[in-house]
Amino acid sequence: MNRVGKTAAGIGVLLAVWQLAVMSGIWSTYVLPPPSKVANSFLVMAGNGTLWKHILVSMRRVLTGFGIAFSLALVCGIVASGLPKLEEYYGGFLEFMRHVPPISLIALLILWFGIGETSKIIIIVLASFFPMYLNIRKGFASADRKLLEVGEVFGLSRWQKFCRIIVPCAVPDVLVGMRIGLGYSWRAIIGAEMIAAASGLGYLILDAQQMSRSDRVIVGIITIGMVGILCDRIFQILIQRCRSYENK
Amino acid sequence: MRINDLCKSYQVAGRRLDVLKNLRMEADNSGITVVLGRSGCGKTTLLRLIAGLEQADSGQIIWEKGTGGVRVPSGERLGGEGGQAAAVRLGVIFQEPRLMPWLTTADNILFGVDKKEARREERLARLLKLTGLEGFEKAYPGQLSGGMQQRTALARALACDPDYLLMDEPFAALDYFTRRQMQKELVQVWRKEKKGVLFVTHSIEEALAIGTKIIILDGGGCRKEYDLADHAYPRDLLDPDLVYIKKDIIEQIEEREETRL
Ligand SMILES: Nc1ncnc2c1ncn2[C@@H]1O[C@H](COP(=O)(O)OP(=O)(O)OP(=O)(O)O)[C@@H](O)[C@H]1O
Ligand SMILES: [Mg+2]
Repeated sequence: MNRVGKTAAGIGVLLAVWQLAVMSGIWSTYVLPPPSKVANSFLVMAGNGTLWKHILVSMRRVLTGFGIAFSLALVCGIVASGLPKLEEYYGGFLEFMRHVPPISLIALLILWFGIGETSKIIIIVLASFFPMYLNIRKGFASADRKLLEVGEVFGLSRWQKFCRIIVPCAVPDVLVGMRIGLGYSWRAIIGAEMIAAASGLGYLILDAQQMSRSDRVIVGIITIGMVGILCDRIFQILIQRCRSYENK
Repeated sequence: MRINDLCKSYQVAGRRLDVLKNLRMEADNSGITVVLGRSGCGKTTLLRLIAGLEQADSGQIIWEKGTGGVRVPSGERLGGEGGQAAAVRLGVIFQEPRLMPWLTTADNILFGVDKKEARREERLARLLKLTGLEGFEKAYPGQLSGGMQQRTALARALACDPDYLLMDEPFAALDYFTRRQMQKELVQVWRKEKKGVLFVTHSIEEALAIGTKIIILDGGGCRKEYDLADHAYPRDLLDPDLVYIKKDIIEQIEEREETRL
């Protein structure tokens, strides 16, 4: 059996267990809706367009937050590897922030930035910045010294060495960081949309919870997971493209 | 090129280690000068000093090219400010190929060549032919054999048309046959391009096969020199003259070992 077949079989077993659990009657169908009901809700929501609307809204937040986090991580990471003296000033603070869960800042963010998009995006930035920062810093710091000496004997300037040797050496680590960061961005969507959202996948789940619609909660969870996988796949293909010289 | 009283020491485990002590030597700007010595005698250090990758404690490396002599004060980097880079262009080939894994053979060869430079393609084609890498210009280093990678490194060094080639045991990692092949190719390249070559090795056979001059580096200085300019290529290593020189070189190095004990 190939990979896809095995994955399908695994999901099939999961669905069967789920169905059996429903039929056992231990939980009421309020708490644990049968797969068929979830599938039905899914089709209804996809059909009338609400699901797509939520996906798009969340997607925009995730990508905005991810983009900002990536830009910041790139700047901080390059500075940390290129000008370590400067890094000493902000490194300690970053190290501190890294250990603070973003959700713990929600109260303050609402006070400072209100309940608009800003606070939501900051949550996503905080969640995805650190994995990217750490990977990017590692990538730029780990340029091969032997290759840098090659640049030296060809008389390259500092800037040329950066563009032609350090950056290509860093690309694989940067891409890995971006891939992890994107995953963290998606995972932060619930936290972000806990702040007075009116749409989005996080809102969909939280709203369904208020309405005791477990089937919709599950639809939201499944959608987040699938969109996350899709984004990750796209990235994986990108990474493979960039590192194709290694496998060939 | 002349080297005057070159000194270099390292701090190893808290102790001062004099690697080069008042080294004096001369290398012909159009010959193949081979520096021969035991492992750890400072061959790589010497080459790195000449290439400007390391700074000397004292002494000078003086380039004499054409009519006017160009002086490179110790410690000052070639390719830095001033006219030194224009005066003597160095091509360096390290012990390992050190190719950029993300570049194709063609791009690796042209690494040191200015993008705006005219006739890049022409130069590339000539070098590919010279090093026998035609047909592999689109391959990545990971797809080349060790010898092919080393030839790519040779082509890369030749691509910016250096006046002088510095080679640090470039063929040490190759098998006997590839090594012989590469030595022949080097001699061919040298004949066609008429460049000065400084070749570092610990193999006496290799030194005898390619050198127009052999310098024995030992104890931080130049112990003895042999002139082989009269021996034509390809050389027969069983030639009585060469066998005699080989014996003498072995004696030189072993004698030194005995006085040390
Ligand atoms: N960066 C360094 N720091 C400290 N000591 C060094 C350094 N580089 C070389 N040495 C010392 O200098 C000595 C000469 O080293 P070098 O690499 O020049 O030897 P070599 O003649 O090239 O030997 P081999 O044939 O094994 O390559 C060695 O004893 C080594 O310990
Ligand atoms: Mg060496």
